[in-house]
This record gives sequence, structure tokens and C-alpha cells, in this order.
Amino acid sequence: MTQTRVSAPQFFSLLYLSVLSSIFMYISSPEITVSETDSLLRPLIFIVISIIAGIPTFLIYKEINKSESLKKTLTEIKFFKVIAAFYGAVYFIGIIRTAARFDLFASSELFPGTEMTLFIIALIVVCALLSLLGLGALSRAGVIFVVIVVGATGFVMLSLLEEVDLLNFTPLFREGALNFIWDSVLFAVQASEIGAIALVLPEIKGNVTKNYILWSVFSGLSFIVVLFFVVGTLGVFADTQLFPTYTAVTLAKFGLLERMDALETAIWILCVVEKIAFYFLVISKSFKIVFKKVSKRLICIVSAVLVSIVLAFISSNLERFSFISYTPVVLAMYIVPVIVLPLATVIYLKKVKPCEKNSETD
Amino acid sequence: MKEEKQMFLSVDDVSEVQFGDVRENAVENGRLIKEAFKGSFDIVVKKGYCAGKCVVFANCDGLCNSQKIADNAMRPLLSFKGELPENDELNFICDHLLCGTEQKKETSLDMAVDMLLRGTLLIFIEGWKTCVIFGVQSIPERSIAEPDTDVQEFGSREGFTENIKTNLTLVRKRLCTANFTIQMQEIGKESKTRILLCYMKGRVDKDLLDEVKARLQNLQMDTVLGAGYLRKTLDTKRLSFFTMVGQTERPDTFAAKICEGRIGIIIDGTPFALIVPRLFIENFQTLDDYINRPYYATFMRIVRFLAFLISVFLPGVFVSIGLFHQEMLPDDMLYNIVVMESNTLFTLTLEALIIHFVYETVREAGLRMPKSIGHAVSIVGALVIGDAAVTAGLIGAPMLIIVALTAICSLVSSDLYQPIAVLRIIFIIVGGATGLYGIMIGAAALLVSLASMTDYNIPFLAPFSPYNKELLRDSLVRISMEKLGKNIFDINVIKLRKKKHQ
Amino acid sequence: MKKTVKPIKLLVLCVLMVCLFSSCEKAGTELSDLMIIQGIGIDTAPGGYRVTVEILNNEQSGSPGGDSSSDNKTKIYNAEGESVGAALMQLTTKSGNKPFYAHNRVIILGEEAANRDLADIIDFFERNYDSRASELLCIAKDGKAEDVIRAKLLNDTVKSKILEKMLEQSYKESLVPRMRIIDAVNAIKDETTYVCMPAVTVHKNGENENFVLDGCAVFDKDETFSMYLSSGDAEGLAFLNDEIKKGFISARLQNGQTATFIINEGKTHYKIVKENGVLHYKLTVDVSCDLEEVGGAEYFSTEEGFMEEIKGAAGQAIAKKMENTLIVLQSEHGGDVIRYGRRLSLKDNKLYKSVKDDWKKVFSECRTSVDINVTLRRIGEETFHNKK
Repeated sequence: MTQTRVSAPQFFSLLYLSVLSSIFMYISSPEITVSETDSLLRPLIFIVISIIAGIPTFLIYKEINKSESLKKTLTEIKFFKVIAAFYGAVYFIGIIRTAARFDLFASSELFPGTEMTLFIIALIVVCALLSLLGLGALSRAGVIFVVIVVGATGFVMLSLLEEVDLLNFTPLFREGALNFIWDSVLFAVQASEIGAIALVLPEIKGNVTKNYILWSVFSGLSFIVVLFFVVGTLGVFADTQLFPTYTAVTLAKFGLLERMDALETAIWILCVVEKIAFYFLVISKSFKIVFKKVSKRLICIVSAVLVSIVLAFISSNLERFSFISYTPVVLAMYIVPVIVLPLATVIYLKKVKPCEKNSETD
Repeated sequence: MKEEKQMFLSVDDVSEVQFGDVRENAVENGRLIKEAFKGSFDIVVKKGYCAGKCVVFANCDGLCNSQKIADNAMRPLLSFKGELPENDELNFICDHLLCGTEQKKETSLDMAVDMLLRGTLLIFIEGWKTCVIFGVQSIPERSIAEPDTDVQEFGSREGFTENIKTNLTLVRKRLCTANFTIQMQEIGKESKTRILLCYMKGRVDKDLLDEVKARLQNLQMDTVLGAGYLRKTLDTKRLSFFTMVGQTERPDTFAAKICEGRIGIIIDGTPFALIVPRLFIENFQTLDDYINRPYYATFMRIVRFLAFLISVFLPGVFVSIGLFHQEMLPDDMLYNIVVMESNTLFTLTLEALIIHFVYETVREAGLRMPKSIGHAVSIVGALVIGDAAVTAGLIGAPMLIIVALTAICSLVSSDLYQPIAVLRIIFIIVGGATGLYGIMIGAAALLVSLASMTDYNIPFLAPFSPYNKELLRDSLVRISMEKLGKNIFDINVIKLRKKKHQ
Repeated sequence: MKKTVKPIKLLVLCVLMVCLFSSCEKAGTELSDLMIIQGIGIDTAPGGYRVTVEILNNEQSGSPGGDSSSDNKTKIYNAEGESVGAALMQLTTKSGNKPFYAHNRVIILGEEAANRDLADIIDFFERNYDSRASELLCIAKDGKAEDVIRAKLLNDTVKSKILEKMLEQSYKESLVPRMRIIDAVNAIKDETTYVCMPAVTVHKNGENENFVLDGCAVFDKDETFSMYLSSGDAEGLAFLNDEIKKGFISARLQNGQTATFIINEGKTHYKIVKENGVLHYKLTVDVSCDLEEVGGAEYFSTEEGFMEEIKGAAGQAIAKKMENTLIVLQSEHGGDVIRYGRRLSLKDNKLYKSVKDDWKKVFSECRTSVDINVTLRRIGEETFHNKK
């Protein structure tokens, strides 16, 4: 089957949506204070970290592209199967985290008092099905979603402008620079989708590196804008709210229209749908490498069922949610797919593979 | 690949051999034909003599013009008093006696019978294994009238008819160029419907053409009685709500699309011609847009698009706001709606479903029933879904307004009526069960599925996604004709772009 | 063929599943089951709180605005509970409908309730999904919140709506400060800022009653009610706190006449220095205003210094207001409701850190000097020439 390739801007708009979802459903945690002006600077660190962290992933393909024979036999090598399995597992957890966070968001802000489990499971199933339509469809739809999401959010943010009170900002680095850097790292590691690029890179055409950098910069700037309004309108109140971005939106007024938050959050769901569908796609791709004979459809359906079971277990109990924002998990979810796995692959390609080749030629 | 046949009535490939070749005995030929049709009364076989030579005429009464037969074929032949040249009777008759441009010699009796059914006159001459097919067709047809669908304000008033030849003429007169190419195919084992594949040489993409041809050739059907029969093969995403096959009743629209590099298919027996591929955005474009000033064309396209959104989402959104997100309504409005809705019997979701069901029923009844009682239905409909239902407390007035607005909006782009009608119901159910969030997930799924439609390697959502600046100038907005250049909306641009990147 | 059918079947199944299963417990709330709350009054009750809510009467017969004169537009319910949330939840049993807070306009605190912890009272509204963070808070001066909600206004109107309009308008006229839930939380969380909310009283006027905004109430740092500022004293708050929206000033001119100005916009700039161990706030207020009237007709526009004089008079009037307010705040209460501390932390965080623990004292001792720049924008339809 020949795959239609996706242009880089399209793909990165999908990734942009995915990363936006984490700022929209930003959870206040005791470790990071949202209400400080520092939070406006954290995205800058995010840009730097993202650009650096992306390097190992891109190195893989630099190595692979060196030899044509390697390209063909890649999926046969056991090492890559293990790596692929790791990727699959990481993004499997990624789906659970995203969906669980959305579940928490939905049940606290969208439909309080309603049993959300079925709704979330329906969301999971829809996303799994959408992932079967392929990266092309997701990315092309992503471009339109970006326009909708950015337009709607921009509109709401603009109407919040009059609510911004400069006295809500705080002096910079109140807690010290070290604290700031640690907070920034914790902030930056939310973008674990960077690692997923490794699995879909061959399908993307155009200047990926340039678009990747643009993506990091745009994501960072978007975070700054959103956080500016969150801090500026809410002040310390932001720390008392579970989902500060959402609370800021509830304050927006535009003429007769008040409480546009429902509409706005509905539009944010587009991000969540894209993110989960993309993760399903990544899972099906990586497990396809592991189990060659199993169809992607089956992988998707099985993983959707598994995710649903886990979510049904998590959904009804608040304490089980805590692992979503449990710092070691958050860190691991970033470091493993973004740094460890690509680096391991690169090292394997650089060191082990040439040795094998040499031994073959000898 | 078969040689391209461009002469209009040349049907050389009859799939089955039933009668074999034309017999030397003219009377035998006549008898065979009579037998083949089991003595059907409309098959007329007449024997006569031309300068002493036996000649047999066969035609299908009703499909041809008897006056023409008498004046142009029978009289010259039967009243010929001279001598026929030896061994060249056939050519002499064709060249000197028969008066008409459309004639052809045929040796296969099967083919001849086929042509008989298309309204020609068959002339068998004693001692010749060839028959003359003489064009005297007069197939009853409707005169050219203004199309009922696809109405344009400033476009031409001509619409396609059921006659393939008329239809071609209507297009041909708009495209007086040798590049306008027509290929004929026959489809349908029993109906043997002729279809014309029309395209503009030099503008059409070769892969696209090959693909369409291949698909049509693979079509296995007994009868083709309408344009939609071909959708089955031209659309790959059969389960999608939307289609990449366009349909028009207007020769001007048809010609315009062909100029844009698309392939048109005219089907005998139906006034609807198909156009492939069709992009999503085309549902909001009309020919009038190119006649009107750009600012107005742009305005109308945006209105049409908003009307589409309203007609799909409004009832669902209203239901979900009413059930889940009451805070979105300003409180005075909420109060008014609450007061009005609190008198009604059903829940909001049920109310919306019922009233839409009633509306669709009234619409369908209005469409199907005899025209003479059409008014009765509209009066009953207006009364039932109108005031009476509200007064009786069955439905609330706000819901009625919503449905009325939706109904009007859904008629703006008539091509989209079918998906709109079904999607609307789905979104009411989803909205009633899961609120705006369910609607949004549904909308996301819908959009992704639209984005996944890439029949003929052309993305359905172009030029928005994939974004194409050149084509965007004639999408929801339309810039002036001078700036648009010669290719108003060239499908090739998308294709070329795709290729360039691959 | 088979390939495409499966996911779609599943999809349809899912949609059906969601619809059918969720309808078991009836998704959403029907409009007619809503209790649209317009205003909430909170008073104390033995062992807890007593809430009084004004709700829209949606069980009227006929259409809205129609012949429903026999029914009132609103209804009032009471409930008691151990906490504000518990009391509000009791409402369901009283009316049978689901309380709906999204359109709540005001929360009125009774004076006794305000003596308890404010943070406790508003926590419910902070946490509740429906309720907006921008709901207005006010205090029922010398009385109970219930009296305000049950006030007998002349017409059958939504009282909370009137009260909300009054609060909004007075804030826009720079007469009283605005206190929304979010402002209250921010003030409570801030180490140096004190809560200050408008006070409302009910005036008897023969048979009928009407609302009067009467200054504002200042809270202590333990979030209990502390004292009232009279409406005259409260007028300077907007200028001190950089919250000048619109408003008017009346100034007395040298010859005893009165000039009235409408403020179009204003901005307060702060400069903070430490002099001799005391904080010195140098305030510069830029005000742009229109002249609305000049009493008497003795002036000519051509007269030198006329413009300067009326501008100076306006400036003095503003300075006077600010001074009055500051005196009351610093001498009588010592609460920093004008966010001096907050401003200090932004300008000089080190200094702020060193004084924040003893802020009440520092605030009451700090000096303020005011410099007012008045810009006259328009003088109305009349020229001065006509005055003779």
C-alpha cells in the first residue's frame, strides 16, 4: 500500500493542537504556582528544552538514511522491535493520562454530577476509529482545527483583555532562579508528543526541522499568551482553581454573550480528540512493528478496549487520578520517549550496527 | 486499450453474438428480426422492390420518424426506375438514392438489431451480406426547459433533458473547441445505457481520466436508470455522508467544470450529469458567483456556508444548551425560554426529534404526492407544526423557531440536503445525551472523515486543507476575474502540487 | 467492503450506547426543572447559616410579559444548614427544582454573617461549577441579608437585578469599589490586602422600600467584618486604588460658585520611596474631564487664568476626597484596601518582604502625597462668552 505523505506544516499543526490541549487543561499542582509572573517565562524555557530534546529523534533518521539496506530491514531487527514496543507502551500510558485528565476536567467543569465514564469511553472509541483514517486525515483536519481553536481562543482572550489587572502580576523569581528552572522543566515535560515524531517521520515531507522549530516557538508563544491572561485576570485566584485556564475563560464577556466557557471548552475538545487519535496512531504503528501479522485495526481496537478498562477503573475514584500529575511519572513520560529511546537507537545504529556489518564483511 | 471512438452512434462492441452476420437473403434477415422480438407490434418489417431487387426495411415504430422513412428512404428506393449497377447496388443505394447524412454499413446482424432499438432504419438488400443503417431517429423527448434543481439567478435557462444527444449538443455549443473530447461507453447488461465521458484535452489529468475509465469499466450492473447508479463505482468512500461525485442539471455548469479539468459524464435517459471529482467547497459555489460582483459572490458564499453550519448543528446545539449549558443563555432569554418550554409535554431532545420527523415527513409528502393536492399538505403542515402544536403544549415555540430556521437553512445548498437531514438528527441525539462536548466530538469525527476523503488522489477539503493559496482565491472568497486568471478553479493545481511534493 | 463497515458499525454502536445508557439516568437538566437563582442572601442561623434566595418564577401561566399579573415575577425561598453550601442544597427540597447559580447576580452578606469567616462563606461559590467567579458581593449594612432580598420595592421587579445594576453603576461612577468573588479571594490570599465591599441598606419610604448604597464595609485580615466607611469616605478609594472609570466631581470656585465635572478617564501613577524609615507614596492622578456646569454667570472665558482656576478647583476636590479616605483608613482601621502593599511588592520586592509582616502598622504610618493633573476635554454646548 502506498501511503500518501503528509506535509510538515499539516503534521505540526496536529502536534500543535496536541500540545495546546495540555495548556487548556492545565492542572494546578502544589508544586507549580500558576499565578506567578514566572509562569509567563516558563514557556521560553519550554521552547529551548523542546528544541534540544528533539535532536535525538531527528538523529535516528539521519543514521537510518545513511544506508538503503537498513531502511528495508529495519523492522526485522529485534532491537527495533523492543524499542517500538517501548514507544507503544509509553503512548499507551499517554492516552490514559490524557483521557484521565480530560475525564477529571469534564467531570469537574463540564458535567458536574454526571457519570462521565461512558462519555470518556465513547471519546476513546471515536478517537481509535479516527486514528484508522490515517495520519493524513488527522493532519489535514488538524489544520482546520487549529484555525477554529486559535480563532475561538483568541476571541475569548481578547474579550478578557479588559479584565486583566496588572496588579495581579508578581515580581519575577520570587522563589529563586533554581526553583524557576525546575518549575520550567516540569512545565516543558508536558510535551511528550515530541517522541512520537520518531514513528511518523518517514511519512512527513517538507522541511521537518524548520517546521519543528517553528512548532516549538509557536507553542511556547501560545502558552505565554494563554498564561498572560490566566495570571492577569485571575491573580492568586488561579492557584485556588483546579483548571485555571478554564476559570479565566468563564470570566469572558462579550456584549450579551456571557459564560462562553461551554462553547470554548467544547472547542478545546478538538485538541483532545486530535491528541488521543494521534497517540492511537502511534500505538498502532509501533505495535505493528512488533507484531507484523496483526492488523492495525485490531491493535487499535484492542488498545482502545484496554484504555477503556483502565479508565473505567480510574474514573470513579479521585485518588487514582493523582498519578496523572505525579512528578516522576510526568518526567518519565517525557524522558523515555523523547530522550532515552531515540538515544538508545542512535547509539545502536552508530556503534552496534557498523560492528555487525564489519563482522559480516570479514 | 481500445481505439477511441468519437463518432456519435458508433457502437461496435456488442458483447454477445446472437444472430451472427447479416444474411444474403434479405427476407431471411427480416424474418430473423421478427422472430427475435417475438412479433412485438412495434417492430415493423416491410418488403419492397428497388429496380427489381428485393429490399427489406426494418424499424422500431415509435422510435423513428415515419415521415422521414417514407420520404427519405422508401420513396427514393421503391420509386427508382433506373437500373442498379451490377455488384455495386449497395453503394449506389447509399450514395444516390438514400437522402440523409446519417448512414452506416454494417455486417453484423446483432449490431444492426442494436441500432434498430436506437431508432434507426435497417435496409437489407437481396444478395448483400451488409445492411444499411439509416438514421431516422425520433425518440420522444421533453423540450429543453429551465432546470428545477440547481436554479441560477443569472445563468442560462437551459437544462439538460433525458436525451443524450440533446444534452451533448447543449454542452458542445458552449465549448466550441476540438479539445473538448467525448468518449462513449455502454453500461448495463440489460439497459445498455449510453454514457458520454466528456473532458477537455490538455486540461484533464491523465491519471484521473484513466482512473475514472477503469472504474466505469469495472462496473457490473444490469440496468442504469439514473445518474446516481454510477456513484457506486465513482465514490470509494461509500459510507461517507458526503460524495466526491458532483451532479448537475445545467449545461453551463457542466461546461464550466469541464473547463476546470474535471471529467463530466452524461448519461442517457436522465437530465442529471455527473462530474468528478467534486470538492467540499463546491457545495457552496454557484455559477451566479462568477456572474455577480466579487464582493457579493464572497458574501453569498459565506452566507451559504453559515447556513450549512446552522442547519447541521443548530438543533443539536440548542438541545444541548437547553439541557446542559443553560448558563450560556443570557438570563432574560433563558427565563423566556424556560417559561415557554415549561408548558410542554416532552423533553427537549424528544421535542426536537418529533418536530424534525414531522418536518421531513411533510417535505417528503410534498415531493411525492400529486402536484394537484400539494397545497393541502403545506396548509396542514403549517397548521400542525405551527401554531396548533404550540398551543396544545406539544412543543415549545423556541424549538419551533429553531426548526424553522434550520429547515430554511438546509435548503440553501440543495446538494447537501441529504447529509444535512441525517447529520442533524444524529447531532440532536448526541447533543441531547452528551451536550456540546458530544457534538464537538461528533463534529471532529465528521471533519476528520471529510479530511480522509482523497478519491482520485485529490483531497476533498482542498484548498483549505491541504492549504493552497492559489485556489483559496476562489473558495469561500472569490476575487475578481482578472486576478483569477484563465483557469478559474483548476483541479490540476492540486494534483500538480501533490506530485511536486512526492 | 468488509474493511470499511466494521469501524462504522462500532461507531454507531458507541453513539447508541452513549445515548441509551446515559438516558437511563436522564442526561442534563430539563429547562423547566431549573431554579434560576438571581440573588443570594446569607445570614447566620443557630449552628450555621440561613440563606435567602430570590429566584425567577418560571411557573407562570401564559407567556412572559403576557397576562401574568397575578403571579409575581420572582419567588423567595429560605433554607438553613450548617454551612452555606449545605443550606443552599436544602433549597431543592423546598422548591423541587435544581438550583442554578450561573445567573446569580449578587451575594448579600448579613452583617452577622460577615462577622464570621468570609473565606468560609465564599468557598462554595469558588468551587461550584455553575457559579461565576465574577458574582458581586455586598453587605447588608446594619441588618440582615434577608431583609434586603425581601424588601418591598415599588414594582414587581427582580430585586437582585436592581441591586446588581446599582452596584455596577456605582463602581463605574467611581463611587464604591467592586468586590467580586475573585477579588475577594485575591484579597484574602494576599498578605497585605484587605477585603472591602459595598454596603447596602433598605430605606423605608412610606409603604415602599428602596435600596441605598451606603459606603462600604472593610474587613479585617482574619476575614471578619471590621468597620464601615461612609459613602463620602469611600469616594476617594477609586482614585487611590487606580480604579477610576467614570464619575463626577463638584468643585467650589473662588467666588463661591460650584463647577461640576464629568470624569472621562483617569489613571493613578505611583512612586514609592522610603524616607526616614517611613514609606512615602507619591501619587500622580491624571484625570480628563468635561465641564458640565458652572453655577452663576460671572465669568468670561477671556479672563486670564480661568481655565487654570477651574482645573485647580477640580484637582483640589479630588485631592480632598483622597485625603479624607486615607485619613479614615489609616487612622481608624489600618487596613490596606487600596493595595499599597501589592504595589510595593511589584516596585521593590525586597523592601516589601522586610515590611510585609508588620504591614498594618507600616500602612497606617506611611505618607501619601498627591499630585493631580486635570485635563479639561470639553466645556459642553455653551461658550463662556454668553455668560454675563
